[in-house]
Amino acid sequence: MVVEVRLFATFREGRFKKSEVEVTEGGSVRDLLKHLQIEEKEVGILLVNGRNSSVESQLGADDVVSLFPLIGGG
Amino acid sequence: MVTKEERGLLKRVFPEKRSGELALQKAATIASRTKLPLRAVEWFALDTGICPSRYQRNIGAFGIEGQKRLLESKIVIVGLGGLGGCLLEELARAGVGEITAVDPDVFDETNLNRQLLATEEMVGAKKVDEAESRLKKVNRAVAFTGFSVSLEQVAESVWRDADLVFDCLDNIEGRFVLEERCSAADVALVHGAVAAWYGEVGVVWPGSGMLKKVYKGQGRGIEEDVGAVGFTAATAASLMAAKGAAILTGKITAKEQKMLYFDLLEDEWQTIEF
Repeated sequence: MVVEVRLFATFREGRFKKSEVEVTEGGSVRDLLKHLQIEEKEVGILLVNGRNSSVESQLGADDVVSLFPLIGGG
Repeated sequence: MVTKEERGLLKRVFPEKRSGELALQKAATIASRTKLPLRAVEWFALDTGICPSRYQRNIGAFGIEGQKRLLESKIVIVGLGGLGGCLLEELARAGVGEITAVDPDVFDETNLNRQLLATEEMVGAKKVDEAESRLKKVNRAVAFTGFSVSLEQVAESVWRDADLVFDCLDNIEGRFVLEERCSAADVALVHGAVAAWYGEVGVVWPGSGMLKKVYKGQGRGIEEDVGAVGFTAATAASLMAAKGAAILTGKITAKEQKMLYFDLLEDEWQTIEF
Protein backbone atom coordinates (compact mmCIF):
# COMPACT_ATOMS: atom_id res chain seq x y z
CA MET A 1 0.00 0.00 0.00
CA VAL A 2 1.01 3.60 -0.47
CA VAL A 3 1.15 6.37 2.16
CA GLU A 4 1.97 10.02 1.72
CA VAL A 5 4.98 11.18 3.73
CA ARG A 6 5.66 14.83 4.55
CA LEU A 7 9.06 15.63 6.02
CA PHE A 8 10.04 18.85 7.80
CA ALA A 9 13.20 20.81 8.60
CA THR A 10 16.40 18.73 8.49
CA PHE A 11 14.53 15.48 7.71
CA ARG A 12 14.33 16.76 4.14
CA GLU A 13 18.09 16.75 3.68
CA GLY A 14 19.00 13.93 1.27
CA ARG A 15 15.34 12.83 1.22
CA PHE A 16 12.32 14.82 0.04
CA LYS A 17 9.68 17.32 1.13
CA LYS A 18 6.63 15.25 0.18
CA SER A 19 6.49 11.82 -1.42
CA GLU A 20 4.39 8.70 -1.79
CA VAL A 21 6.05 5.76 -0.09
CA GLU A 22 5.25 2.05 -0.50
CA VAL A 23 4.86 0.27 2.86
CA THR A 24 3.81 -3.29 3.64
CA GLU A 25 0.14 -3.89 4.44
CA GLY A 26 -0.48 -3.34 8.17
CA GLY A 27 2.93 -1.73 8.66
CA SER A 28 3.55 0.80 11.42
CA VAL A 29 5.17 4.24 11.54
CA ARG A 30 8.21 2.43 13.00
CA ASP A 31 8.51 0.37 9.78
CA LEU A 32 8.20 3.54 7.74
CA LEU A 33 10.99 5.21 9.76
CA LYS A 34 13.28 2.25 9.06
CA HIS A 35 12.52 2.56 5.38
CA LEU A 36 13.32 6.30 5.50
CA GLN A 37 16.46 5.66 7.59
CA ILE A 38 15.26 8.02 10.32
CA GLU A 39 16.06 6.97 13.88
CA GLU A 40 13.13 6.94 16.32
CA LYS A 41 15.02 9.11 18.78
CA GLU A 42 15.29 11.87 16.16
CA VAL A 43 11.50 12.18 15.80
CA GLY A 44 9.54 14.78 17.71
CA ILE A 45 6.10 15.71 16.44
CA LEU A 46 4.61 12.79 14.52
CA LEU A 47 1.24 13.15 12.86
CA VAL A 48 -0.89 10.61 11.02
CA ASN A 49 -3.65 12.35 9.08
CA GLY A 50 -2.98 15.50 11.09
CA ARG A 51 -3.38 13.79 14.48
CA ASN A 52 -0.68 13.34 17.10
CA SER A 53 0.48 9.70 16.87
CA SER A 54 3.26 7.35 17.95
CA VAL A 55 5.74 5.09 16.18
CA GLU A 56 3.48 2.14 17.05
CA SER A 57 0.58 3.57 15.05
CA GLN A 58 -0.56 1.23 12.30
CA LEU A 59 -0.80 2.73 8.87
CA GLY A 60 -3.58 2.37 6.34
CA ALA A 61 -3.60 3.01 2.62
CA ASP A 62 -3.43 6.71 1.67
CA ASP A 63 -2.62 7.83 5.23
CA VAL A 64 -0.66 11.08 5.44
CA VAL A 65 2.34 10.89 7.78
CA SER A 66 4.09 14.11 8.88
CA LEU A 67 7.45 13.89 10.62
CA PHE A 68 9.19 16.75 12.46
CA PRO A 69 12.62 16.55 14.07
CA LEU A 70 13.21 17.64 17.68
CA ILE A 71 13.83 21.36 18.03
CA GLY A 72 15.19 22.50 21.38
CA GLY A 73 17.47 25.53 20.90
CA GLY A 74 17.02 29.00 22.28
CA MET B 1 -2.01 47.65 42.59
CA VAL B 2 -2.43 50.72 44.85
CA THR B 3 -3.96 50.84 48.35
CA LYS B 4 -6.72 53.22 49.41
CA GLU B 5 -4.18 55.45 51.19
CA GLU B 6 -1.89 55.47 48.15
CA ARG B 7 -4.82 56.36 45.95
CA GLY B 8 -5.59 59.34 48.15
CA LEU B 9 -1.99 60.43 48.05
CA LEU B 10 -1.83 60.11 44.27
CA LYS B 11 -5.10 62.00 43.82
CA ARG B 12 -3.60 64.99 45.62
CA VAL B 13 -0.49 65.18 43.42
CA PHE B 14 -2.10 64.31 40.09
CA PRO B 15 -3.23 67.08 37.76
CA GLU B 16 -6.92 67.98 38.00
CA LYS B 17 -7.51 67.30 34.34
CA ARG B 18 -8.33 63.58 34.05
CA SER B 19 -7.39 63.05 30.43
CA GLY B 20 -4.43 63.28 28.07
CA GLU B 21 -1.00 61.83 28.64
CA LEU B 22 1.56 61.50 31.37
CA ALA B 23 5.17 62.22 30.41
CA LEU B 24 7.90 59.97 31.83
CA GLN B 25 9.58 62.80 33.72
CA LYS B 26 6.28 63.87 35.30
CA ALA B 27 5.53 60.26 36.33
CA ALA B 28 9.02 59.96 37.83
CA THR B 29 8.54 63.21 39.79
CA ILE B 30 5.22 61.96 41.18
CA ALA B 31 6.82 58.61 42.10
CA SER B 32 9.61 60.42 43.91
CA ARG B 33 7.24 62.83 45.74
CA THR B 34 4.88 60.05 46.85
CA LYS B 35 7.66 57.47 47.37
CA LEU B 36 5.57 55.00 45.36
CA PRO B 37 6.90 52.70 42.63
CA LEU B 38 6.82 54.21 39.15
CA ARG B 39 4.57 51.44 37.89
CA ALA B 40 2.01 52.21 40.63
CA VAL B 41 1.97 55.82 39.41
CA GLU B 42 1.54 54.64 35.80
CA TRP B 43 -1.23 52.25 36.82
CA PHE B 44 -3.06 54.97 38.74
CA ALA B 45 -2.77 57.32 35.77
CA LEU B 46 -4.37 54.70 33.49
CA ASP B 47 -7.06 54.06 36.10
CA THR B 48 -7.99 57.74 36.05
CA GLY B 49 -7.99 58.03 32.26
CA ILE B 50 -4.48 59.44 31.73
CA CYS B 51 -2.19 57.38 29.51
CA PRO B 52 1.54 57.39 30.26
CA SER B 53 3.09 58.58 26.97
CA ARG B 54 5.36 55.55 26.89
CA TYR B 55 2.33 53.25 26.49
CA GLN B 56 0.35 55.55 24.18
CA ARG B 57 0.99 53.41 21.09
CA ASN B 58 0.08 50.22 23.00
CA ILE B 59 -3.50 51.17 23.73
CA GLY B 60 -4.85 50.27 20.30
CA ALA B 61 -3.64 46.71 20.87
CA PHE B 62 -4.27 46.25 24.59
CA GLY B 63 -6.85 48.88 25.56
CA ILE B 64 -6.52 50.85 28.82
CA GLU B 65 -7.73 47.84 30.85
CA GLY B 66 -5.27 45.56 29.09
CA GLN B 67 -2.41 47.96 29.75
CA LYS B 68 -3.37 48.04 33.44
CA ARG B 69 -3.41 44.24 33.50
CA LEU B 70 0.07 44.13 31.98
CA LEU B 71 1.38 46.49 34.66
CA GLU B 72 -0.16 44.20 37.29
CA SER B 73 1.38 41.07 35.75
CA LYS B 74 4.20 38.95 37.10
CA ILE B 75 6.10 36.79 34.64
CA VAL B 76 9.11 34.48 34.80
CA ILE B 77 11.47 34.15 31.84
CA VAL B 78 13.55 30.99 32.00
CA GLY B 79 16.67 31.37 29.86
CA LEU B 80 18.18 34.68 28.70
CA GLY B 81 19.63 33.54 25.39
CA GLY B 82 18.35 34.16 21.87
CA LEU B 83 14.72 33.76 22.91
CA GLY B 84 14.83 35.20 26.43
CA GLY B 85 16.82 38.36 25.68
CA CYS B 86 14.47 39.39 22.90
CA LEU B 87 11.34 38.47 24.85
CA LEU B 88 12.54 40.45 27.87
CA GLU B 89 12.96 43.58 25.75
CA GLU B 90 9.58 43.25 24.04
CA LEU B 91 7.58 42.55 27.20
CA ALA B 92 9.34 45.28 29.19
CA ARG B 93 8.45 47.79 26.45
CA ALA B 94 4.88 46.43 26.40
CA GLY B 95 4.73 47.31 30.09
CA VAL B 96 4.71 44.01 31.99
CA GLY B 97 5.10 45.12 35.62
CA GLU B 98 7.19 42.40 37.24
CA ILE B 99 9.76 40.27 35.46
CA THR B 100 11.84 37.53 37.03
CA ALA B 101 14.57 35.98 34.89
CA VAL B 102 16.42 32.73 35.51
CA ASP B 103 19.74 31.90 33.85
CA PRO B 104 22.91 30.56 35.48
CA ASP B 105 25.16 31.44 32.52
CA VAL B 106 27.62 34.13 31.56
CA PHE B 107 27.89 35.40 27.96
CA ASP B 108 30.36 33.72 25.65
CA GLU B 109 31.38 34.55 22.09
CA THR B 110 29.06 31.96 20.53
CA ASN B 111 26.13 34.01 21.90
CA LEU B 112 27.02 37.10 19.85
CA ASN B 113 25.35 35.83 16.65
CA ARG B 114 21.84 35.93 18.07
CA GLN B 115 21.41 37.09 21.64
CA LEU B 116 20.17 40.67 21.98
CA LEU B 117 21.72 41.10 25.44
CA ALA B 118 25.12 39.75 24.33
CA THR B 119 27.61 42.45 23.31
CA GLU B 120 31.34 42.10 22.79
CA GLU B 121 32.12 43.92 26.02
CA MET B 122 29.75 41.70 28.01
CA VAL B 123 31.49 38.41 27.19
CA GLY B 124 32.14 36.77 30.58
CA ALA B 125 29.43 38.79 32.37
CA LYS B 126 26.36 37.23 34.00
CA LYS B 127 23.28 37.25 31.79
CA VAL B 128 20.92 38.23 34.62
CA ASP B 129 23.07 41.28 35.45
CA GLU B 130 22.98 42.53 31.88
CA ALA B 131 19.21 41.92 31.76
CA GLU B 132 18.81 44.15 34.81
CA SER B 133 20.90 46.97 33.41
CA ARG B 134 19.12 46.75 30.05
CA LEU B 135 15.72 47.02 31.75
CA LYS B 136 16.82 50.13 33.63
CA LYS B 137 17.49 51.77 30.27
CA VAL B 138 14.37 50.47 28.51
CA ASN B 139 11.65 50.69 31.17
CA ARG B 140 12.61 51.52 34.73
CA ALA B 141 9.04 50.98 35.91
CA VAL B 142 9.60 47.21 35.59
CA ALA B 143 10.36 45.45 38.87
CA PHE B 144 13.12 43.00 37.97
CA THR B 145 14.55 40.03 39.85
CA GLY B 146 17.38 37.97 38.37
CA PHE B 147 18.31 34.49 39.56
CA SER B 148 21.71 33.32 38.36
CA VAL B 149 20.89 29.69 39.12
CA SER B 150 19.65 26.64 37.23
CA LEU B 151 15.91 26.22 37.08
CA GLU B 152 16.02 23.22 39.42
CA GLN B 153 17.24 25.58 42.17
CA VAL B 154 14.39 28.05 41.80
CA ALA B 155 12.00 28.11 44.80
CA GLU B 156 8.55 26.65 44.25
CA SER B 157 6.98 29.97 45.29
CA VAL B 158 8.48 31.70 42.24
CA TRP B 159 6.43 29.48 39.91
CA ARG B 160 3.34 29.67 42.12
CA ASP B 161 3.37 33.48 42.28
CA ALA B 162 3.77 33.92 38.52
CA ASP B 163 0.90 34.79 36.19
CA LEU B 164 2.78 33.30 33.25
CA VAL B 165 6.12 31.56 32.62
CA PHE B 166 8.17 31.63 29.41
CA ASP B 167 10.25 28.66 28.29
CA CYS B 168 13.31 30.21 26.64
CA LEU B 169 15.67 27.33 27.43
CA ASP B 170 18.27 26.06 24.99
CA ASN B 171 17.95 22.33 25.70
CA ILE B 172 15.19 19.75 25.80
CA GLU B 173 15.83 18.07 29.16
CA GLY B 174 15.38 21.35 31.06
CA ARG B 175 12.07 21.87 29.29
CA PHE B 176 10.64 18.67 30.83
CA VAL B 177 11.63 19.91 34.30
CA LEU B 178 10.07 23.32 33.62
CA GLU B 179 6.86 21.75 32.31
CA GLU B 180 6.54 19.75 35.53
CA ARG B 181 7.28 22.75 37.78
CA CYS B 182 4.69 24.90 36.00
CA SER B 183 2.09 22.17 35.99
CA ALA B 184 2.60 21.61 39.75
CA ALA B 185 2.26 25.38 40.33
CA ASP B 186 -0.82 25.53 38.05
CA VAL B 187 0.70 28.24 35.87
CA ALA B 188 0.66 28.36 32.06
CA LEU B 189 3.94 28.10 30.16
CA VAL B 190 4.62 29.79 26.82
CA HIS B 191 7.03 27.49 24.99
CA GLY B 192 9.41 28.41 22.21
CA ALA B 193 12.33 26.58 20.60
CA VAL B 194 14.51 27.18 17.55
CA ALA B 195 17.19 25.60 15.38
CA ALA B 196 18.69 27.16 12.23
CA TRP B 197 15.67 28.32 10.10
CA TYR B 198 13.10 26.38 12.12
CA GLY B 199 11.07 27.13 15.20
CA GLU B 200 8.03 26.21 17.26
CA VAL B 201 5.84 28.19 19.65
CA GLY B 202 2.89 27.09 21.75
CA VAL B 203 1.16 27.48 25.10
CA VAL B 204 1.52 24.59 27.56
CA TRP B 205 -1.54 24.72 29.80
CA PRO B 206 -1.08 23.12 33.25
CA GLY B 207 -1.65 19.38 33.20
CA SER B 208 -1.69 19.13 29.39
CA GLY B 209 1.74 17.46 29.21
CA MET B 210 2.12 19.00 25.76
CA LEU B 211 5.92 19.12 25.77
CA LYS B 212 6.05 15.39 26.46
CA LYS B 213 3.93 14.89 23.36
CA VAL B 214 6.09 17.24 21.31
CA TYR B 215 9.42 15.75 22.37
CA LYS B 216 8.31 12.13 22.99
CA GLY B 217 10.68 11.96 25.95
CA GLN B 218 13.75 12.36 23.76
CA GLY B 219 16.63 14.62 24.66
CA ARG B 220 18.67 15.71 21.65
CA GLY B 221 17.48 18.42 19.30
CA ILE B 222 18.76 19.28 15.83
CA GLU B 223 20.14 22.61 17.15
CA GLU B 224 23.11 20.59 18.44
CA ASP B 225 24.02 19.99 14.79
CA VAL B 226 22.63 23.02 12.96
CA GLY B 227 22.88 25.75 15.63
CA ALA B 228 20.56 28.74 16.00
CA VAL B 229 20.49 32.17 14.34
CA GLY B 230 19.28 35.58 15.47
CA PHE B 231 16.33 36.15 13.16
CA THR B 232 14.80 32.75 13.92
CA ALA B 233 15.19 33.33 17.67
CA ALA B 234 13.71 36.84 17.35
CA THR B 235 10.77 35.48 15.32
CA ALA B 236 10.00 32.81 17.91
CA ALA B 237 10.51 35.28 20.79
CA SER B 238 8.10 37.76 19.19
CA LEU B 239 5.48 35.05 18.66
CA MET B 240 5.93 34.08 22.32
CA ALA B 241 5.63 37.72 23.41
CA ALA B 242 2.41 38.10 21.39
CA LYS B 243 0.94 34.93 22.95
CA GLY B 244 1.99 36.11 26.39
CA ALA B 245 0.54 39.60 25.98
CA ALA B 246 -2.71 38.12 24.67
CA ILE B 247 -3.00 35.80 27.68
CA LEU B 248 -2.04 38.45 30.25
CA THR B 249 -4.53 40.96 28.86
CA GLY B 250 -7.30 38.34 28.83
CA LYS B 251 -7.60 38.17 25.05
CA ILE B 252 -6.85 34.42 24.96
CA THR B 253 -8.89 32.28 27.29
CA ALA B 254 -9.50 29.02 25.38
CA LYS B 255 -6.97 26.42 26.54
CA GLU B 256 -6.20 24.94 23.16
CA GLN B 257 -3.33 22.52 22.75
CA LYS B 258 -1.69 23.91 19.65
CA MET B 259 1.83 24.39 18.41
CA LEU B 260 2.86 26.73 15.62
CA TYR B 261 5.75 25.29 13.62
CA PHE B 262 7.61 27.53 11.18
CA ASP B 263 10.33 27.24 8.56
CA LEU B 264 11.71 30.65 7.57
CA LEU B 265 13.66 29.25 4.63
CA GLU B 266 10.65 27.66 2.91
CA ASP B 267 8.20 30.20 4.35
CA GLU B 268 6.05 27.48 5.89
CA TRP B 269 3.74 28.15 8.85
CA GLN B 270 1.79 25.27 10.26
CA THR B 271 -0.47 24.93 13.29
CA ILE B 272 -0.39 21.47 14.85
CA GLU B 273 -3.16 20.42 17.20
CA PHE B 274 -2.60 17.94 20.02
